[in-house]
This record gives sequence, C-alpha cells and structure tokens, in this order.
Amino acid sequence: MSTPSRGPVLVIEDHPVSRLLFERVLELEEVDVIGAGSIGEAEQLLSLTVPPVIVVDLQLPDGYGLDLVRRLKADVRTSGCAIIACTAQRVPDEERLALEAGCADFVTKPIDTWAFARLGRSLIPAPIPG
Amino acid sequence: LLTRTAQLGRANQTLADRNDKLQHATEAKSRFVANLSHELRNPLNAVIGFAELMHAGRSGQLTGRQEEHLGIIRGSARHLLALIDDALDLARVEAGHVRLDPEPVEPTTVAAECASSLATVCAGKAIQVDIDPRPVGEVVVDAARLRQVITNYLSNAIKFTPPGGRVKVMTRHERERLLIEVSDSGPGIQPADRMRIFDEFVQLPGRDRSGSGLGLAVTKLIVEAQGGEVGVRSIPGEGSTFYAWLPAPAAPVPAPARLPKRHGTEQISAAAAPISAESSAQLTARRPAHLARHR
Repeated sequence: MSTPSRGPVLVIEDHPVSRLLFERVLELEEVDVIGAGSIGEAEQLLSLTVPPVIVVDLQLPDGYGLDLVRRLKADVRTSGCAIIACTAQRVPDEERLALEAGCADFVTKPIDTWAFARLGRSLIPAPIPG
Repeated sequence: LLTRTAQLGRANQTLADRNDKLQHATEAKSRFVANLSHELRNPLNAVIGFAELMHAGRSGQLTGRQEEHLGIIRGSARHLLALIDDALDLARVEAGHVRLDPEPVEPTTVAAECASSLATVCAGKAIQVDIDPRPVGEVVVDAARLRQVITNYLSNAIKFTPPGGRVKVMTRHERERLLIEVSDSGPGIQPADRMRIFDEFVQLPGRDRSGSGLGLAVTKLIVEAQGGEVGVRSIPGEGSTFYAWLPAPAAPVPAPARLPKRHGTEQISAAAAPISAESSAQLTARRPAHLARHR
C-alpha cells in the first residue's frame, strides 16, 4: 500500500460506509483524506484547515449540502477549494444547481470508482517544487 | 328533474373526491419510491464500490473463485440498481411527474447513438444492429425520452436475440408523428403474451430473466405520457417488431447551424459490433450521447 501523500481531501458524508469507500478510493491515488459526518463537523474542521478539495454529500443530517457550498464559495478563505457535489438522489436540475453554486463536478451514487479516484486527484494542485 | 340533478351533483362530487384520493395515493407512492431509491443507493454505493476494489485486486490477491464471486456480487448489485432506477421512473411517470423538453432532433442520428452505446453488449453476442439510414429529417420531440424508448427497445431486442442474430431499427415520420420500430430475429412472442408483455414484471417463461422486468412498462408509460402508443407484432419462431408512435411535429427550419457538431469521427470497429455498411455512415455522425443523464 502506498503512503498517502497528497491532499488532504475533506469528505463530508453522513453515511459512514460511503465515507470509508471515498477514503479507500482516494487512497488509491495517494490522496490523504479527512472526514466529517455533518455540516457542523465540517465547519469546525474548516476553521482549522483549508483543504484543496472538498467532497460534499448533498443530503446531510443538519442541512442541504448546496447551502454549505454557497457559504464556502462566498468566504475568501474557502472560495478557492474545488468542490465535488455527491448525491444518492436523482433530483431534476440538481446537477445544474450544483454547478451554478460553484461546484467543480457532480457525481451520483453509486460512484464510478476509478473515475472518482482520478477526479479527486486531478483537482488537487500539483505541489510546488522545492 | 331537480332530484335527478341533485343526485348527479352528489355522484359527481363523490367521483371528484375519489379522483383526488387516487391522485394523492399515486403521489404518495411516487414519494415513497423516490425516498426508497435514495435509501437503497447509499448501501449499493458501498456494495458496488468495495466489490470493485476487491475485484481489481486492491485489497490483496484473490483466488480465481473469489474473483468469480466478486464479479457476481458486482453484477447483481448493478442489476439491483437498474431495477431501482426503472421503478423510480415508473413511479414518476405514473404520478404525472414527467417534464418534457421538446427540441429539434434527427431520429436516425439518435437511433445510431443508442446503438453505439450498446455496442459492447452486441459484440459479446455477435449481434448485428442495422439502422435504417434514410434520414427522416428533424422533428420536435423530447430527445432524452426518445433515447430512453429506443435504448429500452434495443436492449430488449439484443437480450432476446440468439448469438449471431440481427436487430434492425427503423424510423419514419408521417402526419406529425414519429414511428420507431425495433425488429429482432429472436424467438418471437405468442399472441396471448403480446398484450401483457408491456405489463410490470412480466418476463416470459424460458427467457433470459436478467432484466428488471420493468423496461417495457416504463417505455409504454413514457410514450403514452406524450400522447403516443406502443405495440408489438411478432411471428413465433421468427422474431418480433416493437414499435412506438410519438407525436412529433417537423422542426420549423432545418437550418444548417443546428446540424450536430462533429467531435471527430468515432466508428465502432467491426470487431466491437458488426454494423452493416449502410448504417456505418450514421454511426460516425456524432459521439454517443451520455445516456446516464437522468431527469
């Protein structure tokens, strides 16, 4: 197993098994992952660190994921984070709403495992040499 | 006369009340199916995802038997997902929650895209798909729903056609209506089964039962929701032709600007899916659309 060396990616997902899957899939691309199970928990973590990539499930126990996305995009500290919206629901127009809110991409569950791994890695800026 | 009018008024009220209750019940069912679909997708995400990681050897080396079993888990989970998607679609259409976005499309091109998206399945069974190459011209119809109808009919035809068989797609436009016909060289359908083949969960005995059993029911509802009709003609032992008539006015001005953008050519190789020479020109016209987009 390779040592995680990039990231971190913040995964905001209340379903523990799905969160673990995101972690394991991103580990394949040597990406380090931190997890949060709610918007509240995510906001606490974000007050300490600003990750380059955030994966946010849209149905969270304490709110709607896109409301969080809009707040993060309006905050200068977090506006540069690349956000991947993720949902288990097939709601018409949600993809358009997510992209309009500033998400870099939109994925539906079940995720395409390998495409998700590549997407996570591709959104992390390359480390500055030296 | 007054008594009769009062009686009729009460009867009308009772009917209206029952209609209301039925509508509410249908909407409640649709909401239930939508919630269930969401609740099932989370565990399925884990089942499919972890099975894929293991199957690819990312959790350690596997024996041949373990690899085989993981492939079955993954395949069955995907089957379950297709069932959930079809059930959700069915509930949405039944509850009248179908949003139609009519736009000018060239049906022959759409048919070619649908065939391209199923090329791998065709290749696995060495089935040749012929698309009638005569363009019918641009018509105004909901493109995503048209793709769903053609794809459902095509998947069905490919599934029930024995290896080495042929499937043909024909489109025609007449009197503001679009006809789509998908013919196969499968076992055919007995007259008694032709009426019920479009019912939910009907799968004929002795046939491949790998589908959800909802594909044709969804197709029928989608077509009828647009004011169209579906049907099947069949000669047992020779094959079947499934058809759909959809209301589709001709596009007002077939301006050159509206022609599909070419993203470079993409041709299915003969090995990947045997496509007849007459239809290969159509298949090179446009990159296959992303069919997984849901409304």
